[in-house]
Amino acid sequence: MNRWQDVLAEVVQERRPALVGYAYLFTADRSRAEDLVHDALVRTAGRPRTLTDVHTAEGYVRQAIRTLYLDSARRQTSWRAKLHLLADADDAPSPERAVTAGLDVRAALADLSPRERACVVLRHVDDLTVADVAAELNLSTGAVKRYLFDGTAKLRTALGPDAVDEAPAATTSLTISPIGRTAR
Amino acid sequence: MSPLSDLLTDLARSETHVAAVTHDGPAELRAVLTEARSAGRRRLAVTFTASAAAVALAVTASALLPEPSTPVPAGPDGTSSAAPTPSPIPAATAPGLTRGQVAPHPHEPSIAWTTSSVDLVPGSDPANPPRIPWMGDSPHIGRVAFGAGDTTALVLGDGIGPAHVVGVDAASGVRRWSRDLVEERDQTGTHVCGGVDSAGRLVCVGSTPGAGAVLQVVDLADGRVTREVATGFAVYSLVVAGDVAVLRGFDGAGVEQVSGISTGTGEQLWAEVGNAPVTHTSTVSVEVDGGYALIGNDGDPRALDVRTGEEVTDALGLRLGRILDVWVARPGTGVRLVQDDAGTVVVHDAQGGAPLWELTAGTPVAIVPGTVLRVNGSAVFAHDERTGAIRWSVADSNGGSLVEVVAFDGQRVVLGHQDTDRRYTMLSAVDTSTGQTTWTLPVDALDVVLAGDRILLEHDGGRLTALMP
Repeated sequence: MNRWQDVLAEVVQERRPALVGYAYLFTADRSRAEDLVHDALVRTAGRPRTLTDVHTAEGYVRQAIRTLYLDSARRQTSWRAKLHLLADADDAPSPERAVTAGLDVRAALADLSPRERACVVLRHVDDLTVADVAAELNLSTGAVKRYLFDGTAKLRTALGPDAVDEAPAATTSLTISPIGRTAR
Repeated sequence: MSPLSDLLTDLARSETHVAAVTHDGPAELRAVLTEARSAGRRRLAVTFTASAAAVALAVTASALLPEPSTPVPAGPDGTSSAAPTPSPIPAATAPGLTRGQVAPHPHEPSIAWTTSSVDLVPGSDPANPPRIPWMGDSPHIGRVAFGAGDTTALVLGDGIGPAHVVGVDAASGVRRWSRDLVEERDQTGTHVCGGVDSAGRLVCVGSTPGAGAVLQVVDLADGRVTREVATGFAVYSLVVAGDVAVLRGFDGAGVEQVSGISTGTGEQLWAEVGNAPVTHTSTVSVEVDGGYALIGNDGDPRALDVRTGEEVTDALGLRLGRILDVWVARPGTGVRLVQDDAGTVVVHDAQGGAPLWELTAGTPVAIVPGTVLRVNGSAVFAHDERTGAIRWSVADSNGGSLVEVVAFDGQRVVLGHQDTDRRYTMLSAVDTSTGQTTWTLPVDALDVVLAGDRILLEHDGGRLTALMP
C-alpha cells in the first residue's frame, strides 16, 4: 500500500473505537456515532495528502466528525426534525451504559441541542477556548458563549451543580493597565 | 479538568470500549477505501435560470466589479523582512465593510438608543424576550445583525416561535419593518440573510411557490424584496462579497451546487456542480477572504474567485484548511494565519504565501493593517505582521477577566472585557499604532454585536442598546 494507506489502516485499526467514543458525545446515539465516524474516515481518505501520519490523520478525522455532525444538523429541515434524528431521548438504556455517580450523563447530553452539544464537547472535552470553538464551528464568539451558557445550564439542571461547576473563582475588579513598550 | 470534562471523558471512554468489542477493522478499511475512491468532483457550465421576478441584465462579471485594488503595504512600524511577492490573484473585489469594522470611535461612545426586543417583535412574550444573536434553527450559519445607511437590521428569536429579521431606524431604534424567517426550506418566505452588498441591499435566501429556492435582495429601508432569483437548488450557505452573493447547497438529488449571483442585476455569474449525490459527507460553509470564497471548512476547502468561480486554491500557495478564521481588516492584502501540522500558527504573506514568523502562545483573533492581534487570557498582544515583534500589549491588571477583540474602527481596536461569568463589564479602545488606551466605557451586557458600522449591546430581559461614536 501507499504510505497514506498505511496511515489510514492504522487509524482505522487502532483509533476507530476512540473516534466512535468521541463521535458519541455529539450524536448521543451509538449507531449514528459509528456512521459518523465512517463518513469522516471516507472524507479524510478522499484527500490522501492529509494522511501524513497517524496523529495528524486522526486530527483530520476528528475535525471531519465535528463538521459532518453539524452539517447533518443544518441539513435537517427543522429543529423538531433534528431532535429525533440526532438525539434519541427515548433510547432504552443498554446494559453496558456506565452511569457515573448515579447521574445519567447520556440523557442529559441528549437533551442538548446539536450546537449546544458541539460547543460543550469542544470546550470541555477538546479543551478549546471560546474563540477556538467559534472558529471551529464558524460561529461568533457571542453565539458560542450563548450555546455554552445554555448547554451548561441544562446539564446543571439535569446532573446537579456539583457535576458541572468548578469551584467558584474569586471575583476581581477590572482595571485597564497597558503593559509593554507603550505603557499608558 | 472540570467535573463536566471528567464526566464527558468517562462517557466517551465507555463508548470506546463498546466500539472496540464490535470493531471489524479490515472490513471497515475496505469500505472506507471503496467509498473514498468513488468521490470526485467536476465543474460544469450551467445555464442561467431565473424566476419570473428576476431581472437579468446582460452584464459581464468584469463590468460588475471594480478592478483589483493595489495591495496595501504593511503598517508603518513593520520591518518588512520578506517583501510581498506580486500575486497573479486579484485582491478584494468590492471591499465595503469588512468583518468587524465599525465607524471611527475616537472618543467614548454614547448611547444612540435603548429599546426592548419585545417592542421590536410584536406579540412576543416579555417573560421570554427575543434575543440576539440567534439564527433560529436555520440550516445556515449566518449573520445576526446588519447595517447600511440609516437602517439597522437584527435577527431576533425567542427559541420557540419563528425568528424574525427586524429593520430599525439606526438613529432612533424605532421599528420600521420585520420579516419572519421561516424554518422549512419549502415554506414560502425568507430563510436567512447573509449580508449587505456594496449598495446597501440586504441579501437573503428564501422560497417562493413558483420558483422554489430563491436569492432575495431586500431594500434595507423598508424590508421589501426588490429582486428574487431562482437558485435551482436548496441553499445551505450564503455569503456576500461586494455585489456577488456566493451560495452553496444541494439539489434534489443531493448533488452539491455552488454559484455566484450578482445582487445588482440578478445575473448568475458562474456555477459549479458536483458530479455525484452527496450523502452526509459534505460541509456547507462558505466564507469570504478578500476576493475569494472559501468553500467548505473540513480541513481541505477550496478557494474560488467570487467574480468568476475559477478555483484559485493552488495559486494561493497555502493549505486553505489550515487558514485560521480571524477578523481581517483588509483581506488578502497583508498576512494570513495558517496552522501547520504540529498545530503551530504560522504567519504567511497573503500575496505570495511565504512564511514570515510563528505565533507561539495565545489565540490570534484579528489582523488589522500591519498588525496581528493575539489574545492570551486577559491580555491582548499586538505583533508586527511582518516580523512578529510585539508592539504593545494591554492586560487586565488583576488577571481575572477575559478580553476579546470585538471591533476595529480603522485606527483603534475595541476590546470587550468580561468578568468570570463572561458578562461584558467594559469596552475599551486601543490605538493600534501606539497601544494607548484611548477610552473606556463600563457596560453590563450579555453580548456585543456589530450591525453595519455600529456597536450594539444585548442586556438581560431583551434590552438592546445601540452605541454611537
